[in-house]
Formats: sequence, structure tokens, C-alpha cells
Amino acid sequence: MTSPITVFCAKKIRTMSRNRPTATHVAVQDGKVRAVGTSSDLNDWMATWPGIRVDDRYADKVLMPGFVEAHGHAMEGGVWRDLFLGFFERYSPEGQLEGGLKTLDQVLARLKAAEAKMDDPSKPLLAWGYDPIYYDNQRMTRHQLDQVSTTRPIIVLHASFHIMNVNSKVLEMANMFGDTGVEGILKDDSGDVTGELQEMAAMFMAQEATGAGFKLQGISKDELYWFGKSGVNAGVTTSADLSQKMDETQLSTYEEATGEDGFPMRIATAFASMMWDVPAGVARAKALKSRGNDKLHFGVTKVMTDGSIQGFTARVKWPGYHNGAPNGMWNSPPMQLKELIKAYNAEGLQLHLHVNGDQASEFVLDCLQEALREHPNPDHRHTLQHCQMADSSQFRRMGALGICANLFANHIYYWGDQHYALTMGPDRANRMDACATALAYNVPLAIHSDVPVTPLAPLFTAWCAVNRETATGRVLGEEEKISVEQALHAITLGAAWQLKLDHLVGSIEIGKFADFAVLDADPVEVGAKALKDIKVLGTVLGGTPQISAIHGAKATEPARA
Amino acid sequence: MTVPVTVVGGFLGAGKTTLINRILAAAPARTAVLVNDFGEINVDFDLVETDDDLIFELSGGCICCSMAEGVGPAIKRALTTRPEVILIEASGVGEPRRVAEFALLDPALRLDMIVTLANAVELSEQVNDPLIGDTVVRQFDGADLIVLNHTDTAPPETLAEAHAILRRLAVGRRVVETVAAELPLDMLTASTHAIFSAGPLVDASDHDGMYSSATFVGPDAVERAGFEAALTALPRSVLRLKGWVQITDEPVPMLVQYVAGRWALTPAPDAPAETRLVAIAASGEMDLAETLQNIMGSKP
Ligand SMILES: [Zn+2]
Ligand SMILES: [Zn+2]
Repeated sequence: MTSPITVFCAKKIRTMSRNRPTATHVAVQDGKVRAVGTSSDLNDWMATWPGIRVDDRYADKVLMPGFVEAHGHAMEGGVWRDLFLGFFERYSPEGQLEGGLKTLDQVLARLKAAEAKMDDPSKPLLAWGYDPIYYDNQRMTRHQLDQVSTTRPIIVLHASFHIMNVNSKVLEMANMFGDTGVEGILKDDSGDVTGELQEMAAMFMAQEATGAGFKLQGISKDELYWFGKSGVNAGVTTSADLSQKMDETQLSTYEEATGEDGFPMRIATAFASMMWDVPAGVARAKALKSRGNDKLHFGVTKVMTDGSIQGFTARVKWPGYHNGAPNGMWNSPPMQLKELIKAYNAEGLQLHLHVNGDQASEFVLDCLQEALREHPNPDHRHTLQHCQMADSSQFRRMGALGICANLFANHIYYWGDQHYALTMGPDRANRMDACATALAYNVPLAIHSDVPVTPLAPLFTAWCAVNRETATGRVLGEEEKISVEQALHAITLGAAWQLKLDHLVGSIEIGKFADFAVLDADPVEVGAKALKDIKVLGTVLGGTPQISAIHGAKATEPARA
Repeated sequence: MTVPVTVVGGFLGAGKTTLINRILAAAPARTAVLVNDFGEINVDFDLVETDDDLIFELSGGCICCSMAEGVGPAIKRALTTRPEVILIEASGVGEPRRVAEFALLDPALRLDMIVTLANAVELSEQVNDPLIGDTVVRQFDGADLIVLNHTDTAPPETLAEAHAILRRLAVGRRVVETVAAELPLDMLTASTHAIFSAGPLVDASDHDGMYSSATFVGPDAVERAGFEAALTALPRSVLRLKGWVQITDEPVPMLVQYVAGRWALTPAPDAPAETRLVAIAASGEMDLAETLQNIMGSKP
């Protein structure tokens, strides 16, 4: 008894496979690709396999392999519980267009509108995604937030997640007026508490005092579904989730959600090495390899090293930050990082290492080289995540060591202007996220969004890598542009390779999961400039159509003046 | 009653675990310890000697993790065990000052002391290392006491260099030299209840006249303004002064807790109706008894 075969026919299928780059028909059986071909192949299939069903809902659409996001966070499914205050527009998993707040007044107006809709007067109003870097670093004050409410606690978490603004009510509840001696409670020149809170202590205590809690950890089943819905909206059928502690409690939530037929996306969750001591972590990471299911994949171990460039916490080499800011912060002492890297590598585990600054990427290359010399780890696919500031010598070393790069192409658009003027200066801004250099030195390449840091939208990420345009339209580093085909590879097979899932996803070929992105145009035909304007209608996951929640015309962010 | 918090910082290899054990030896039984050993390869919990249920692990990672599993939540969990004292080990790259801010903000806590250890042998190399130099330097920020440890293995010129570095990078901070983090127990204890009832703590280690301590007992009462002014004017080498003092116009004795220039006066209705002060200084030379007399000399 064989299971039924469904054939999807499309205007065009761009398979990303060498042997049959384009097609119009794809046969699906048991959630997998049974055959790829054209209308003449369909005649043969019908003769061979009786009872074939032809589904022509995509007859005027273009299919691609479902996109693979190689660096995202399931936290995306939780952040939308709170109000989004981004400078740029962004869709929520439910297809609601949020953000796009171009002035501080618009930010406050959005808060007021949200406040007016809240019933319970004591419930805290939480917001996220606010980034003062776009408002000429104007500081938001408690007095401004007091215009929104003096009775309801209001907490605005910055896009960096490292700073927050609160209103007077919160300061009052948390006892933060007066002489606390806490540097994380900022005061202005006149000694007035501004409501800007920095560092763990002040931020934690403000949340505690108001009973508020941002959904930064502790992913629930609902949130995993929302994360999956964000994927459907963006044409993503497999997303990395970097990373989670993955103890048994958390694992059971993940297994339960992804084990359900209706779960809309595959997730590759990385193991958070920094949340375990090394021996227990190594054992846990190894044990996880035999867990999961078709929609839940383990194998990657995440290592944190430094912070972010726009937050001035990345570790950078000479000459340091362009504006003279002090060097950033390590997540743990470098010697300890080296021991950790060696221990995981020695057990044959695959590492994805967060490195933003060039001092961090260089140090990690030193560590990996030593680790690999002591314990060769064939086909390790260790990957430098973000790796934004690596210079060409570092890419040559990565090529020599077989280390992959997952570059943060979206940064060029979202923070490129700030990197040019403030953080890195012209020379290094022009060579950041050096996709072309990576490819020139045979470094396996992927590009990413780091959702929820920037929106999940691989076609937009590809547009960034191909055009390298900042939000104001400046081109950063003409020489680092890559072609549309190279960018499409990076968001499909390139990403799948780094997750060690390229035998299952990333191209439309016989035997692989029937995972497709449904598009209204062919990315190769529309060309470089229009990549980001292609409309994603949804995905097909294991042969099952998933419909995007984003309706109507695609919103395109106008370039800033 | 607020729970006193001691924060111990310092780079890897400076002797944090050793010092924590010493503090535990002198501390009350119900001392909660927050240890930060993630990423370390040979974790040895046996090194930290206290009841298992009073040990709380801190995790590294970025702020997203810190919010959920970092110092704040660990303190909250520790408080549920009703500890008398909380001891927090800052991570090897953590800034003790930032950790201490929890104690400044949480009404259930009181910051007792920030101790940062430095490795006398390696300090010079560390501060000049482009990878970690700035991290090591930031750890001295806000320290009440800098413990220059492992002095026995540092050649004289290395030790002199370490002192010079600390004079430059940690201007005006109190610095003491130790071998194996041996500090006088009196200096390490945050709680006061046992001090006088049991007499001065027995201190087995020989500190080579590097410290001095003195006790003042008397029926005298002092005026608040004068007493506060005297505390403010205490010499820098005085590390800790604690006890009870009678303040004129105050109905009950006041508990005084002074650590490295930071001090608090709080009502202590259960304390004996007299003045009892003990002070300890990081100098063998000064006449601490005279200093105490001077403080109390400001009586009406
Ligand atoms: Zn990262
Ligand atoms: Zn990330």
C-alpha cells in the first residue's frame, strides 16, 4: 500500500539543485519530494503512479526551497506580547504592521494609544525595540513617559536589551529616587533621575517592583507557534534558534509543540553552553543529538564571546571604536572560553560562536585552531556567527580551517549609517559583513537576521548582501556585494549546511523534505534591486501548504532622508 | 533586618574561591553563597564549603539569560532560605560594582563590602594584555578593599610593580597584601551579633603586623553630627568599624556599620545601652585605639 502522491505545479520552481536548477512540477509523497520535473514529466508520473492528485493553487506562483534562517531566536514568538516601538516597520507573527516610528513624538503617541486600550489600570505597559540611535541619541526621559501615564508603570526596553526607560511610577515603586549610589540609575546634570536604567541590577529591580517580566526566556508552546508563524510569513521552513538551555522541562515543551501535525516550521535549536558547567554541558549536548523529531533538530552548540557593535560591547582590535568608546565586554574570561571550546570540540560537537568584533573573531580562530590540532574533528562545520568585523586575513584562516561564516547582512541596512559615522568609521564599515571576501576564500557562507533583533525575512537579508545599502541609501563597500544567485544559496543550502541539515532541506530534490517558499515572482528574474519587494504568500512544509498572515501589498520602508 | 551582602570579584586565578571559603569559615551558619563557575572546566563544588541548599549557581551568557538566571533571580531564590548573610562571587569578567548594585537597590539587602582580588604575580601581565587588560582594570572599580594575593610567589620587583599599577588604576582604594587570601576574620564578617557576646573572633593566622584592631567600650553617648563627621574623617586605612553607639536624642542604641568609607547608622533596640565599637585597619602602624578615642571624644 503506497501513500498518495500530490503534484504541485507552479509558474516556476527554482530548486537550488545543480542537476535541475528550474522546473514547474514537484511530486510530494509522505512529506518528501518524490520527483521534480515539468508538464511532460507529469504525464509519465501519472502513468506510473495511479491516483496522483494535481494541486494547481500555485500555478501562477514561483516556488523555491523553503528558506533557512541560520541565526534566529524563538524569543521572536514571545516579544510580541509587548508593544513594539521600532524605528522601522515590522510585521508581527499575526500579520500586524507595527513600528515605523520616525520621531520620539511618534513613539510617545504609540505608547499613549496602547495605554488607552488597556483595561486594568495597574497592569504595567511594557514595550520593546526602542532604539535611540535613530533619534540622534535623544534621551527619552521619565517626564515624557509620565505624559503617557503617571499611574500605570511603563517600561520601555531598548532594542539592545541592555538599557530601559521607565516612568516616574516605576521609579517610585522601585525606590529609585534619592541617593541610591547606583550608577545604573541615570541622572541628568541637575541631578534629576531621568528614568533611564542601565545594567542588570537596576533593570531587574524595576521589573521586580512592578511585577512586570519581559518574555526573554522560558519559551512556551504558544510562543513557539508564533515563532513558526513568523517563519511562514517570511517563507522560512527551517529556522535556527540560537540558543536555549534545553533541560528536560524545556525540551518537553519543544517536543510537544513540534511534534504536532499543525506546527508550521522546523526548528534547529542550539544548545546554550554558557548555561551549564562544561562537563554537564558536554554530556547534555551529546544526549540531545538523539532527541527531537522531523521538526526539531539538535546538534549545534552555541558559545557566546562578546557583545554587539552598536551597543559598543563587541571586542574590537586596534584602533578600537571610531568614536573612541572603550572596548567591549567578554562574556567569560578568554582562557575559560578556550577551555570550553576545546572540551566541546574534543567530543566531536559542532560549535556556533557568537563573535561580533574582530578581536573576538580572531581569538576564537586561535582557539579553534588549537582545539582542532589537539582533537581533529572531521566535517566539524564550526561557524562564526555575526563575524561582522573580520578582515580578509581572518577569512583566509577560516577558509584554511574549514570554518563557516554566518554574516549579519541585515546590519548593513539597519545600522550601516551608524557604523559608518560612529562605531567603526568608513574603512571598516565598508568591509563589514564581508560576504564577497568570505566566498573568495571558500568560506561556506550564510546570512541572517538574528530575529527578533531585526525582522525575519531572508529575501530582505539577501537584498542587503546583494545591494549593501544603508537605510539612508549609502552603499557600504561595493566590493563586498555578492550576486543574487550567491545570496539565494546563502539563505537556502548555505544556511542548511551550517546547521548540518543540507541532506534534508535547502533544495528541492528527491528524498528531501517537501519544504517550499511560495513567492509571487522569481528572485533571479526580478533582479538585485527588487529582491526585497517580492511578496511571500506562505510556505509548504512537508507537503502541507501554510498561508502567510500578511495580507495586502507588501510594505516597503521608504529610505530615510 | 536587612541581609548584608559581600561581593567578591577578581580575575581567574586571583583566589576568589579561597577567599570565599575563608569568609564562610568566619560567617554565620546561614550564609547563602552565589557562585559563578559556569564555563570553568574543573568545577569543584567541594571547594566551597557550605550547605548545598545554600549554594546558588549563577549562569553566564548575555543579558537575556541574566534576566532569567542571573544574579537577580538567584538573590531572590537565596532570600527564600532566610539567610543571615549573602556572599556573591562575581564572574571572572564581571564587574563587582555592578553586582553590588543589587544590594544597593533591594530593600531586603544591605551592601556590606566589595572585595576585589588581584594576582600579585600576574597583575602586570594581565593589565597589559590586549584581550583582558581593560576587563581586569574595570574590576577594581568601586572596590572597598583590594586584596593583592599570592604575594609569597611574587618577586620583590613584581610586587612593587603590582602596587604601582594599583596606585595608578585604583586611586585611593584600600589595598592589602595576602598569601592565600588570608584576611583577618574580623574584617570579613558582616554580621555583628556575635562579635561582642563571644568576644573578639579568634584569628589563627599571623598577619605579620599588617593589620591593627581596637575595641572601645564605654557608657558615653555622642552627638550625631559630631559622630558622623568623625566617621567621615576616618583615615583611609580603616577598613571596618562596627558595633553600637549611644546617640544623644536617640531613644535606642544605634548600630554602626562602616566599611571602607561607606557607613550606615540604624536603630538597634535590642542592643545593650552602652557604646561598643570595634575597628580594624590595614596598617600595623596606626594607633587605632587612639582613633577610636578621638571619635568618642566628640562627646557633648
Ligand atoms: Zn549573537
Ligand atoms: Zn542572536
